[in-house]
Parts: sequence; C-alpha cells; structure tokens
Amino acid sequence: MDIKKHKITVEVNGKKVTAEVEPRLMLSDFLRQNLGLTGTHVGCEHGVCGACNVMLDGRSARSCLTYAVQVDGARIETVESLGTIDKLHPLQVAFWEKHGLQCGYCTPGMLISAKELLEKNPKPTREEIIDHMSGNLCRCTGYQNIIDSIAYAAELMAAERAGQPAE
Amino acid sequence: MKPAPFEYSKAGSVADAIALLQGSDGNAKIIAGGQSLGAMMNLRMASPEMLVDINGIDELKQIGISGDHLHIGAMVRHVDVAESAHVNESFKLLRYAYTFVAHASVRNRGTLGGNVCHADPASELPAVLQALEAKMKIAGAGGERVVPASEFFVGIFETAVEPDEMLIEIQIPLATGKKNWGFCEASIRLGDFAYLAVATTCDLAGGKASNVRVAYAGLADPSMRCGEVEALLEGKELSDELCDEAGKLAAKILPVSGDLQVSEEHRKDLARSLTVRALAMARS
Repeated sequence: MDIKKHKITVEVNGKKVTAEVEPRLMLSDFLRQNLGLTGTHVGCEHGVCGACNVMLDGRSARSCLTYAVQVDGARIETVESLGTIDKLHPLQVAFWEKHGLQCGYCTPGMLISAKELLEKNPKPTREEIIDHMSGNLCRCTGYQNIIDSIAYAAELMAAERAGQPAE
Repeated sequence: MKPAPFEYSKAGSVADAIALLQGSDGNAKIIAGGQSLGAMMNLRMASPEMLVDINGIDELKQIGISGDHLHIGAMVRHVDVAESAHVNESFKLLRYAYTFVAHASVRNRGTLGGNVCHADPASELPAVLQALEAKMKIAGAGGERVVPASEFFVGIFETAVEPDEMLIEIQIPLATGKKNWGFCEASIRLGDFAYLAVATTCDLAGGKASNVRVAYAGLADPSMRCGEVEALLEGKELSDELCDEAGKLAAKILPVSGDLQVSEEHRKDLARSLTVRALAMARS
C-alpha cells in the first residue's frame, strides 16, 4: 500500500517543527519517536488512561486519539514544557514533596490535566480536583497523594502570584 | 495498538467533504473529534480506507439561537456545548447530562455531532436529544434534509446518515428547554458510558403532565423513546403510584441484555428504578 505522506508544521513547546508523516502516525508516537520527547507516555492507546495527555491549542487532549497529520498549524505543549531541573514548575515541586508519584508512568498525563485545572480554576476544592482528574488513571498511588499534590501546587502558585517565591 | 493504514484528506467545506465521501465508494469515514472512531481504529475494530477530516470546516463550529431553535454545528466540541451560555440557561437537562459524559480531555476534542453519528447505544446524549425532540440536519449531494432524533438512531452504531452524507447541525427547539426534566444514569464510574440511563421531559400544568417524553440509553437496541411509558403518563398526575407503574412497565418491555459487568436482571431493575427517579426529578 503506497499511502501518501503529508507535510505538517506544528509548534511544539514553543518551537516550530516541520515533518512528513504517514496519516496513521499518532501524535503520541510523533512526539516520542520523531521528536524524542518521551515525557508523553503511552498507556492504553484508546483514550481511557490519560497518560498520553498533552495540551493542544491550550486544551488538554489525548495524543493517542489525535493523528499527527491533524495538528498542522497547531500549538502543542508537552510535559517537558512545564519546567527544567533548575526551575521546576510548582506542580512538579508539589508532586515531589507530596509523593504524588511512584513509578511515574501516569505522571506526565496527571501534570498536564492538573495544569489545565489550575489554569481554569486556581482555587479548586478537593471535589473539583477529583472531578477534573478522574480522566487520568494511576495503578500505583491510590490517588490520594496526587490530589494532595495538586492542592499543594494550587497553594504554591497562589503564593507565587502574591509575590512570594515558590520553594 | 496502532491503526491500520489509511489515506487522509482534510475537507475545506461541507461540499468538499461530501465529494470526498462520494469518491471513496463507501470506504471513507468522517473524522471529527476522533474520541470514538480513533479509539475503535486503534483497537482495529474499525479500519476505514480513508479519513475525511472535517476539523477545518468553520461553518460547522457555530452554536447559537436562531428563530425558536438552538442550532449546534456538527463540529462544536462537547466542552463548548456544555459550557455555552445558551445551554446553561435554556437546556439544563443537557447541561446536567454532560456531567456524566467522559472527562475533560475527551470533551475538549469530541463533538456532539460526532457522538450522535457514532450512535453508541450506551451513550447518554442520543437519549437526551430524543427527550428534547432535537432534529438532525444532514447534507448530501442531493441537498439538505432534516431528520427528527426519534428517527435518527436506526441501529447499534447506525444512524440515518448515508455513507455519502454528513451531519451538519443539531437543532433543539427552545420550547423543550422550558419543560420540566429528569435524568438518571447508572455506570461503573462517573464519566463512563451508561449501562442504563433515562432522560425525560414533560410539561406540568394543573398537576398534570403533558407532552411526556421518556428516552433510554444502555439498551440492547439503539437508544430510544418508550412510547408505551409516555402514553401511560400522558395527561395524568405524576403520582408515586403512577411513576412506579411506569417503572414496572419500562422494565417489562424495554429490550435489555446482560454482559460481563451487568446482568440482564440488574438492567431490568434499573430500567424500573431509574424511570421512577427521573420522573421524580421532573415533577419536583
């Protein structure tokens, strides 16, 4: 089968990238294999687990249910965009301090979903955190530390906005 | 798993999309949000030879009131339907039902139009749209036609849309938004598809219900209204006794089956109890 490839130009973590892709190449595989951004994880490949979550044009999306060919002209942010080892995002600080991860497999998806929640709702109740995060599955932690981490990150981000630096 | 190979075309307009569907001899599928079809393709439960991407057709992305209907374009994402001021103010049943639908990332990309065209019998929205007496506007080479929701869901994963046609708009009468409503669902987890759901609307005047609509999802058949239950309630006071009778009737006649997670017996009982609860919501 001689499937036609398509040229895409997409902004990934602030950088413009051009590539020729087969239509069935998923965005998750494009990010991981073509761009070497292995922070985005592949869990179920049918939209249930959320490990593959990325931000697509400012909204969280399952990269396993998006074809790379569809994101021509779009703006993608992966977990790699959150922070660096020298300057962690408050979410990363919070997950670290509150033990919000064990194996780390679900964590990139959790961070993206949490980032979206705190952008929309900077002071969520515990119920609101649970509700928003219900689209991300974790096999290790039992979820409570993840919820604690996000609640703590909200505090850190509020403090940052108020002018006190996050630790 | 990875999907089987397919060709890809991005449609610039509705006419473009229809021409691409026609040219493919029934081997093409439309891709909107991809939250249902993409999952099926990754599991290799579907392998169309071509995908026609309609994400670039701006005319399908409008949601607004015109005349006495709310018009929702086929490409409007679930999140934009659920958070629209029109839906929040005028269609509280739809707003409430959306709290049971999937999760943020899925609602960000999935579309209401795609959901109804996919016609999963366990999906809540086809039942809700039937209770709201929505109409589906379909475009094909021969022009446009409007099909009422009660005639749109013809089979399991099968709708009135022909292979060379596409849904372009869902219209919901403002009048049905003003009716009393109820919605109840049972699912494994919040956000999962329903293993039984009931959506109901009715006018209540002088203690009597009229224009009663009761629709079900999670059946062994496509989601549907139950005419017998509606007839039982029409013109009557929604007393506890009558609602119980309606529940028992629903359990007796609705087509339900069992699977690994939920037995037939349990579904029958849910048909009964959720009917009663949904009617209780509607009359309060």
